[in-house]
Amino acid sequence: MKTLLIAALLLFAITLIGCASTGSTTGTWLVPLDPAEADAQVMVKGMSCPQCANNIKDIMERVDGIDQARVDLGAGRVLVAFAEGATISEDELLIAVEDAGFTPGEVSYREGGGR
Amino acid sequence: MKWAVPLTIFITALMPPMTAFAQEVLYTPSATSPGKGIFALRQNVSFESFDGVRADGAFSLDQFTYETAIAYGITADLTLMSHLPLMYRDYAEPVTSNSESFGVDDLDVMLKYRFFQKDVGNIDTVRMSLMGGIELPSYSDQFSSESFDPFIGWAMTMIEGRHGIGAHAKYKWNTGGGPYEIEFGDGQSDAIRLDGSYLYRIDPIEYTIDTTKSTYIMVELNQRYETNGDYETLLSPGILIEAQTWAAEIAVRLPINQQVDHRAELDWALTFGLRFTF
Repeated sequence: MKTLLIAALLLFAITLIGCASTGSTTGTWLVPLDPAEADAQVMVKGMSCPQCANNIKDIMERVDGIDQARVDLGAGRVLVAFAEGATISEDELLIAVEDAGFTPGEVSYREGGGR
Repeated sequence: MKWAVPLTIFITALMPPMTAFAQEVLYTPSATSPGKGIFALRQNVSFESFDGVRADGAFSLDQFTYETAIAYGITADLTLMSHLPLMYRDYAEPVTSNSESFGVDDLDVMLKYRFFQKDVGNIDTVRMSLMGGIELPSYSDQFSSESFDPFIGWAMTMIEGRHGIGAHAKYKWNTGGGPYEIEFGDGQSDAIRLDGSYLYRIDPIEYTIDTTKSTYIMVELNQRYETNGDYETLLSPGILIEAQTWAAEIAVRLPINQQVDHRAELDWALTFGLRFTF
């Protein structure tokens, strides 16, 4: 039993090293949203880590009419692409950011994008 | 209770690992929350080495713990959490035919409420939470205190650029337990935890739109007091690698000040943690 547990610990350590040496590109979308194709952008304060980014992306993508979201940790913004023909209000975007536990800032829409 | 072990394994196996406990070091709970409607799962494996002297003589043992922490964001600020620890103990001394045991430690259920949040920049934030809950008996032989023990706590998390500071305090009222236990907080006296942590992002230096992973070094000071006079201070350095869909961490725990008469002394501990999102 003890040998088995030590083996499990070692496997854990190897997995950890493997994780450290592999970039993370997994997610809902294989191709991240191109900023030029975003329909809206929400400025967000307090996003301090990649998992914070994933929280907000998950919650954004649950909003009806949002097709894809991408977090830009460097600029502190979330880029959003709408489903075809969808209209998303500023309030819906702000509430999604707050539900993820962050402070929303200015919302801007791409000219010609749905809202 | 015989159902405790299979139930814990069943829950652990079925629970889909999802978005986890962001930027939280191993032994100092943070004031972060998973977000409204989000499940979070964290699994740690720890190895601990203990020595002690009971009424029937001196002993030493190795302990493996497989702990699953589950959190659910009821609202953005209110989180329901539970910790389920599976344990295996192997007595190196004295060696008897019954030196190995496997069971479930007491599990807890708690609410965490974030009462303060000040996001002052893209990254910078200060958050504080209050916690309250109860430790429930698993009734697992040799592992359970067989008592219902309420507790309250407070946590603070501050992130400024590449630096992160955490603090945590917890008071647990013990209503049962034996006169001599292996672990901190399992005995008849009340238990007090004071934790402080520092975390430094070593990579990347600056976040960009393409950032999907961060690596941190971390160090913690963990104070443990019991109302019977026992106390210890532990130093816990470690590394945390956090990506969008997974995180991995490793830390050692070393006693730097120990005055323990009513339970076993911790020699050292090693913990690995893994979290995944699918």
